[in-house]
Amino acid sequence: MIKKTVLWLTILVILARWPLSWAFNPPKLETGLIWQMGDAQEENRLRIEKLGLDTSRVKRVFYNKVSTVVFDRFTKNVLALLNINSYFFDNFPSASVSDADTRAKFPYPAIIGFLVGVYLSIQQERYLKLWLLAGVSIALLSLFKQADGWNVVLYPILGVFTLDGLKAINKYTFGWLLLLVIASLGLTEIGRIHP
Amino acid sequence: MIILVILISVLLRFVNLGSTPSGLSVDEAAIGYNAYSILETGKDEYGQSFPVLIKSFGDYKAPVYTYLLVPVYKLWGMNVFTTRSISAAAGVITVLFLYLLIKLLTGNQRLALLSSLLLALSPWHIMMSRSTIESNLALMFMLVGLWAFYKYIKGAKVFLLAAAAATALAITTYHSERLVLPLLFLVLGWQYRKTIFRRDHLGWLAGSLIIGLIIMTPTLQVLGTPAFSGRAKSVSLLSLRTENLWGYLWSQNLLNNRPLLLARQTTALYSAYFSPKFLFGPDNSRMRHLYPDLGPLLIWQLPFLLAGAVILIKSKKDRLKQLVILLLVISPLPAALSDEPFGMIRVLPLVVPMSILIALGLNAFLKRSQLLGVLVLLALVILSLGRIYLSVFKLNDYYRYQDWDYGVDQIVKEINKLPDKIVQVDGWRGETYIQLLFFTQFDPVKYQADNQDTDPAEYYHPKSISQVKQIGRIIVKTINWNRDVVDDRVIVGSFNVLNDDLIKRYCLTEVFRIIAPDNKKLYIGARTNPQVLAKFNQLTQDTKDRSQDCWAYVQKWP
Repeated sequence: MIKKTVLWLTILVILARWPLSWAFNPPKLETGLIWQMGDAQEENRLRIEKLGLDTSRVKRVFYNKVSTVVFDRFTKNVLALLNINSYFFDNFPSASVSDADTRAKFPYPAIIGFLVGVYLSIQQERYLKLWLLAGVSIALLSLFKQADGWNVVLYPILGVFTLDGLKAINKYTFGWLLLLVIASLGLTEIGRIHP
Repeated sequence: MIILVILISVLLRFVNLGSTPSGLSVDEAAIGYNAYSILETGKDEYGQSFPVLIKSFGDYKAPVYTYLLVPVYKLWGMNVFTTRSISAAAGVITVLFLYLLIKLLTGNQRLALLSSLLLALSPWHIMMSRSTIESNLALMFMLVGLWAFYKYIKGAKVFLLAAAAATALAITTYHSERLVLPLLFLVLGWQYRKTIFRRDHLGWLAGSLIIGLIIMTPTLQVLGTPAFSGRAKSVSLLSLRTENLWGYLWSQNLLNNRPLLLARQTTALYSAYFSPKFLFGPDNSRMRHLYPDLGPLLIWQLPFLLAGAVILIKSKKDRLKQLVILLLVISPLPAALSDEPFGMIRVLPLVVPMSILIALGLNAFLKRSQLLGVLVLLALVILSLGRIYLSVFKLNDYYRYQDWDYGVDQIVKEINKLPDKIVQVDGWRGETYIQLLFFTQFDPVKYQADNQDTDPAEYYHPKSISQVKQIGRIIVKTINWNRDVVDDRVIVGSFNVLNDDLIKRYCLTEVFRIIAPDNKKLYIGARTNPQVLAKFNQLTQDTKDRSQDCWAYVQKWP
């Protein structure tokens, strides 16, 4: 009985933080896509700056419009979406001050459940569809010029991995004690959501 | 094939080593000049005989790189190329030993080749190999030590001595290895305890412990001094005030207290070392340790890294799996305990398991796709070489010259053109003096005699270091605009502290200016004109609204 109660309490605490942070601070979802040029002057300046030093053919291959603008934006988004610290540590440490997405998501102790869940999912074939869904979601979300906020699409996927991990921990005799610690620390993390 | 990989690693590490990165950082210059000083006098810049830790700027650098430079300088002299050459050579040897290690552990020639090729192409490892960085040398010793250890495990007992020597050298070479290597070998030692503690192995074990102790004896002698622990303390998270810890709320309580906040921040920093964003993304906050437009690893390697991680998790327990997991877990520890996010230098050992993971993914891809896979790999290698060529040899010198203190060698050339002048160089960073010592190749005997501010008995007890340095006729100190312009001298400063307005205001005459690769003004050298300034001061002493242009005012006066 106690194990079940602690498990559900932990799940509640862990899943509540991201929606709460949305409620306090709703993001502005932008629909522009990476190949839409937007600030053409700025993009041209970037290309010219990179080509400024050397206009050889080699360089033109590497710094054409597709590679400097579209591919760079796409990879930047993919890397941001794969950043585990974005989901469990509110994007701390951020790579630069221009990092937009510092939204509170899962409380950091939930990373234990997530890692256990990922480990288990690699061992079991039934998770293959979930992995494919995650991959396709990340690829599609990366097409947004400003992916901030859209990453909420990954909330259920990450949630499933984390919850399955927590359930696996709870199967151990004293696993519920660890879950209790996770839930307690998770509650404090909810208090850290800055509206 | 391994010869080709070595050739690639030699080219990427040695070509234009003396001029790219353009400039010489203060740490590189400090290691170089202290080696030169030891070569010439047996003492470092402070006059300490054969120091165990190099005091330098009070950061007490690990000594091995400095001492290895001594014979190099004896043979080829002190210059930027020779100073960086040890790191570059260590980089090439690391690539070779990664090949030998993987081949020894798995017997898989292709996996070994791929791992070493990926390390050879890693922008992270190239950057570390092309600069004077102790961590890179320590990594080489670490890999040699691991290879020797596994040779021993496979039956060649004598290699235990080599493993001990290399490991002790690695620990002495860079501070972070003091944590990484004892942990690593503690786990490995426990894992192979049945072999190591076999009766017929005890002699070798004793011998290796003695060798390790002999190498580490000098370091152990300063174990209790503030110099030994000072560096770790100053960069540690523990040095941060509680209010400055990430996520601190307004008051401390059961769930918001210092130990918990420290653990929280350490976990976040530790986790960041596995984040693709930091591993693959170009990051403007780590300018000096990353090439423009390149992350620590190449972006096309990301899918292979993920595939490699899955393969490793699914594979049965073997020596490679154990070692990779150990390296992955232990390598980021010292870096995560410091307050720097993604410290490229401290976490350098992580480049090894990352290369192996990517190689595992690539190896599986090649196995499945046969000829197509080889063609794809070839295309990726060519693409990588093109990108690396541009970033390493073109963009870095253009965009990151300031991070490498570009221009100090040119200042010295200009100063040499003024043999009779006293020159005052603004100590804009406090450490510029060491670059001037390096490029002037100033006689260490004279320098030590003129700059005695450390009592030899107090050498390992940090205290403030004098900010005024005398290098023959060159004085390094912050410019005082009231006092320094009334003496006859040439004043040199960066454009931030000495610009055209100040030249006009204090009646200076520009002697030279150093221009950056992107045509920005970097440094100015200007001669003082005490007589003209005195006249200007005299003429304007009663004027309330004093002119900002001394030259214009003086020239107008009859």
